[in-house]
Amino acid sequence: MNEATKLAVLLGLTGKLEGSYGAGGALLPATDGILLAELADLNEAFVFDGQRKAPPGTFGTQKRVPPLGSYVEFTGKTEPRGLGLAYGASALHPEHVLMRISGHDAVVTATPGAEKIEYTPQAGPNGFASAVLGGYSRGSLWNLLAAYADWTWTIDGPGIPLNEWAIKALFTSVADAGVPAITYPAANVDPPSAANILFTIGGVATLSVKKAQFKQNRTISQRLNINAGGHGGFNIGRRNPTFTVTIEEPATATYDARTKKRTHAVEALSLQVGSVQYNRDKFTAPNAQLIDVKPSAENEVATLDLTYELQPSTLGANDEYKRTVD
Amino acid sequence: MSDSSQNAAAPVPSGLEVRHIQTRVVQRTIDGKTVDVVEPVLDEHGREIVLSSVTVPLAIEAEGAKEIAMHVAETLAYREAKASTPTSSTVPTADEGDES
Repeated sequence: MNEATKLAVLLGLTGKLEGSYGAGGALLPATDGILLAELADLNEAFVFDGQRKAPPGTFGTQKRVPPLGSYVEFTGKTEPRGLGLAYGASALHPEHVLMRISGHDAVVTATPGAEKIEYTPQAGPNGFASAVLGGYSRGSLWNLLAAYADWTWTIDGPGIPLNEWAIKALFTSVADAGVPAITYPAANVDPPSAANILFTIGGVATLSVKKAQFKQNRTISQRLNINAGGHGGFNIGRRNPTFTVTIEEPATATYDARTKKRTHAVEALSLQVGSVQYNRDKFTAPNAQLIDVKPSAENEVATLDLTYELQPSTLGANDEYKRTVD
Repeated sequence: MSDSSQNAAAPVPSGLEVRHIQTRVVQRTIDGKTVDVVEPVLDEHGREIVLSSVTVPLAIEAEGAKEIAMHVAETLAYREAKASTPTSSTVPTADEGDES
């Protein structure tokens, strides 16, 4: 008789914020579900892999010592979708935990009829939210804590956008476990597709857009601590948010990308996915600076890949971009 | 375990704020139909007018949505009671520090 099969196609993720960094917490499948869009393979890595120096007097090797400082890196992918009902203090966005651990402040407007949540970059240098996570993958439950994330979103043609969360967390344990019955918030709300995204740059709203991508480019580095286990968690460093969009090459009278790159013009940028209240996702960047223009092509059509750096309004401000869900 | 930034002396800020803003109902024509739409009232700088604001400590945010809502409701109720009884001898709580 073979052993019970561990399936590579079943997955699940639960997560909640920690009261303080690395504090952990008890996860409940009934309340802490995070709906993933793709399988996330989790794998343990180590700060020190236990390898020893080459031995003297032989071309062979030496036995390793046990590794130290375990952590886990993985990318969780989600389809952005709204809550489907009014936001409020007890009705947060389905990706709220992920937005918070990727370094965003959240302002919830609970006024009836105008409910929304606005996420903006967190000032730091302290107070960054972290999460305790339970990752179900390949027939196992991975218990993780002190998780931070770096956020990327992609709209690749017409279809459902994708959020990617590059997560770094401390490893606690892994054990055999099937995926439990996880209750996901807004599980029955369909994610809006990317069509009529109302993309506007510098007041121009008529560009033909092929695809777009935002990268937060948040630095999450390891903190080694040989005085306590080898790994002291993670440190948050700088962010460098960028936005890349591919458009059909327009008439220069409409949008003169090369001149804007030459002058590093600062322009307001905005787009929106979804049109139904409580399932709308808006992205704005009031000070986008065009830094790269690359010619490309879609079949016979001339296109341009435009890369913008998203700048703050003033030195030290934390308003490079804003995600509004309403 | 400690957050790296604890070597900084500044107090740990919270990243969650729950607010109410001033709104008005206006009539808009959408798809040929006139409908009532709630929209924010803006000040002379184009900013929303905030009527109340409660900052939720991370420790409470981590406890979950119900606790967040409870904290917001209790804070607003405390402020209302305090405003209506200015000579009250009520001992201030930590919530009093929330800005509005």
